Amino acid sequence: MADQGKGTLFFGQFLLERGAVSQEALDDALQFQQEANHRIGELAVEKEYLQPHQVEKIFAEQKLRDEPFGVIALKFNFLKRAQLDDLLFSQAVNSTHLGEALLVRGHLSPEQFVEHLKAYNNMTKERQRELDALLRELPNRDVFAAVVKSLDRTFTRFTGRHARVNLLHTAPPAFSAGIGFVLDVALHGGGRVSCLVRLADDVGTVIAERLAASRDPQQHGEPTTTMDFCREFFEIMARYLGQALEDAGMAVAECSVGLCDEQCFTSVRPALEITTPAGPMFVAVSVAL
Amino acid sequence: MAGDLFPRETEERLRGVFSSVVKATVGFGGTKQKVEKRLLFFVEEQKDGRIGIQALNAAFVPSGELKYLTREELVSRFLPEPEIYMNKVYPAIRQVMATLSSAERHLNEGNTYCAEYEFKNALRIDEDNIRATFGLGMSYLERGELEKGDLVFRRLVNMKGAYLKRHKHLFNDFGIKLRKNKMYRQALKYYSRAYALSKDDEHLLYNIARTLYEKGSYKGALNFVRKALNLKQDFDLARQLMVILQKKMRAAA
Repeated sequence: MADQGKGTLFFGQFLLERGAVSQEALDDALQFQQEANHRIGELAVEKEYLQPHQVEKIFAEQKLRDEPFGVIALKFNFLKRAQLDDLLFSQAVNSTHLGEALLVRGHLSPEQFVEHLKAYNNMTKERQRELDALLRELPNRDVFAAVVKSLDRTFTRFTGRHARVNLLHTAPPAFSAGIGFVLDVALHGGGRVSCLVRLADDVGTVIAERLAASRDPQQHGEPTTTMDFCREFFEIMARYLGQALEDAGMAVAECSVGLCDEQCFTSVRPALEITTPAGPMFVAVSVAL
Repeated sequence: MAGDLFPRETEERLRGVFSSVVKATVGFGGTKQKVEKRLLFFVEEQKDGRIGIQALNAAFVPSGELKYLTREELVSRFLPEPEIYMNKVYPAIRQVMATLSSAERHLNEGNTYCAEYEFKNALRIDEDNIRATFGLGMSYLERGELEKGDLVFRRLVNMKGAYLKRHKHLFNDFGIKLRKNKMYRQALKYYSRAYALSKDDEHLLYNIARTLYEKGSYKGALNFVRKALNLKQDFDLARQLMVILQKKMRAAA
């Protein structure tokens, strides 16, 4: 597992750093978690609420709409509300947290789990308080919050794990290599929000691998290179950013994604360092309202 | 053995697994054939003497709606299956009960993640278990996980068994948790379902009044608190709430 720094840790990394579990135990639990958790489409077929071809149709639509499986299934009239609720409940019951996986696999006792989880929750609460204080200092903090929310949502969708704001840089971060994208959101009335993202090449590779895993490689028109996958990732993030800005009361006209070079990035301050499941990422936001 | 299964004259109540055979025709044209399927049920004599019958799920746990039949119907339509009861059903029921006890102990001690884990274990065996569903919802709401709490609420509100007297304590606790998490719409829907089934429960009326009060609907709250007091005049909590509501409404006027 990549070193994600001390500022923001996921629970697994937290347990590793405390010496509560070994890397092997953590990998074992993560593997168990991945195998145990059922996707809602699979559950729908098991319960005979949907046929496999209906599930495929919903998945195809998800790529265009970025909406949850259940929302699309309802729109297509493939599922009734009561059936969707039943599936969501089954999914919740059959889902396994990392902590549960560690318990089931015998890597932690219930008492140890409770003790470490309390410590982790206290640490993240404290960290969140510090970061909230930092974000409060920023002008246009609603925009920053929307950016962080949309990035987190995109990572959660493709990796099942969250992205977290780690640090705030008022000076440009030292970051020579890598790739960059600009997510441009045009607002009605002429305003603009530009979200510039810089990430290391290996982080881009991890993102590309995660998206590739959810694709049919034989499908015509699907992305094939790391850059193509990364662009698609940030196009999805841009749509989520548009939705988050709408939720914050802004009238979004259009979202687009382009490339962003290092010079473009370092001219915008401040920059947030975000810890993601793929590795660190730097995000700068420019707002013109 | 037949005498043991029908202990009318003793204090032991009837409990066991019974089967019935269902005949059906499957296929079409040349592939059409008649098949027989054996269905298994858990039968238990209730405290009031009625014979309750429930289907068994794939984990050999009684699940689904509890129905009733007479002893004569039981004898004429079903066959006892004592080995299935002893080897499959009894151990499965014990496992669910032990898991639930452990879960509820964790919940009482404030260990909501361990409680969640155990309640989910129980639900993986018996997805319709009402105690486990309540417990899972309480675990989520205790942590302020409102979206997951709402998911459990949507399940519970449609479960007939959730409103049975034997689950009243769980029902009340869950309603209070919904209210304390400011999920007023859900709490009122939840209580209104119970109210439709039981209009003479003064504590239910008080809970509705309390929820309406916290939501800021003072007039509605006063209406329900008066109904509660009509049923029980020495209901101190309701009287105190009525005084508070009257003050609030005077101040607002």
